[in-house]
Amino acid sequence: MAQFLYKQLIASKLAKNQGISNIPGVDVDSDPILTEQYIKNNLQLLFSKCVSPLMAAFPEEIGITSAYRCKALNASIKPIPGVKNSLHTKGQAVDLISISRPSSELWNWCYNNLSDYYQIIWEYPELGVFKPGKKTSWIHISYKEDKNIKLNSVASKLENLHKELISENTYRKGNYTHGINLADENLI
Amino acid sequence: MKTNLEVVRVQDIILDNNHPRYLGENSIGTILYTPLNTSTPIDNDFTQLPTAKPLFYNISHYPIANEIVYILGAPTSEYNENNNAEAYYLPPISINKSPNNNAYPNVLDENGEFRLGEYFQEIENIRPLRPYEGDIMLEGRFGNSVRLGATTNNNIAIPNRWSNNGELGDPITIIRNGQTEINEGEPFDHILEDINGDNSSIYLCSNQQLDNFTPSSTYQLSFGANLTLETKEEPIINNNEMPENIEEDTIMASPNNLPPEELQQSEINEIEETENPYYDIADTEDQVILPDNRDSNSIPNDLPDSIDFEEPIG
Repeated sequence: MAQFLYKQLIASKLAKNQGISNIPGVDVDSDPILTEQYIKNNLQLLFSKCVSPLMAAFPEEIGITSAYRCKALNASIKPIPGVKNSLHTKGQAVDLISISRPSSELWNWCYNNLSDYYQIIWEYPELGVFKPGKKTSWIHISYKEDKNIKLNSVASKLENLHKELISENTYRKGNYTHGINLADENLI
Repeated sequence: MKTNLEVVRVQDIILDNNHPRYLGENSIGTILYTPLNTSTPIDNDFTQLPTAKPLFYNISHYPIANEIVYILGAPTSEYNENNNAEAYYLPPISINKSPNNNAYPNVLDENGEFRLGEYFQEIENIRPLRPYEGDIMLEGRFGNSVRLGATTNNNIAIPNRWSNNGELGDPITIIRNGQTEINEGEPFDHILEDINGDNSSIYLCSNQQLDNFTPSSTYQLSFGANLTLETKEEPIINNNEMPENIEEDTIMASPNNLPPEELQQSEINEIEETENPYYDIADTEDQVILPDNRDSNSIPNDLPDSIDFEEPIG
């Protein structure tokens, strides 16, 4: 089975364009825990526990849009920066797409098959299936070795989608509903 | 012009154009009265009773039937032409010092009751507010009130829950809508506002901190509001801990336990920073890296030799 290489998990067009060195370990001076080894270990865990099983289920389907982001890269995200302590800065989160399938299929597979994860987010399903050069729906997966709370979320600007997901087990905040149990394309 | 005060008994009041003595909007608030020692007209026939208008125009304190008021003579609007005067009344006399009503009838009907109005009903357990030095208070008949007060001395005066902090004289304004339920004590006992028991309140504090304040809920749905932005359950923090990292699009919650309130607020703050959608693809990483695409032009050029970046991950 194909695997991602370490260098692919730090790849960032934005970092290159802005001259940011997105090399794990660059933030160790401001945060001693963020050693190269710590980040690499986190990426290994994230990929072995979550991404590799997903890739096995969807061979030749999975692409990465963003994995590791150093703090400078994370802060350069526009129009608003990523959250200061983003799990991406620790190598604990990745954004993925399928090149031919709806993101809901990836999300549902993760929900039904992954035994441990911190959070899976069905990201803006209204953006649709991947097409080159087009905004695309994706899924976000994060893994933390010691705190995998299995939070299941959807992010969307579709108000009706959120309304349909209201239940005693869900929590709505802004564009996010948490606690869902199905990525249902019929809601789009 | 007769200007001496006279005590009279209110028999009726004109409040709208359904009243037979209504003479236009200027007559609203006009009372029909009888002298204090005169009986209520048979069959409540008020057609011949004298009238008095409110003395104050910017404070409306309308009496109900059988309350006692002072009236006095003062110029009419045509005084310059004819020197005529008419009667004006002062607020009801606090015979019983009851916020709800101070009716003082001298005749009871066959049921042993007396008239308070067309629909006004006595609420017996409405209590007066306890005053403190310097207080100015307005008390409605229904348990609603406004207190323009201050931090007092809880060691000298009867303690209240807003005077344990701050400096003596720090202003406080308490608006209360509805009195807490009271089933004990005497009808004339004074009470304090009860933020936990009053129907609803607004406390405008300066340096005070209210003791024993229990919010009814922080969640709007508990008020029965038909909102779509909140759900019935609030999120949970795993192990009741704040996770070390907040993901950019993550609210650190899961729907199975309730976290401490302050943690929920922290989460909300975090997520509100990051609600701009589409940023990840639209503005940051316009890229899709596939496993077999080993020549991605987004891979850093300055990879240090000390790290094996060709290593497969996962």
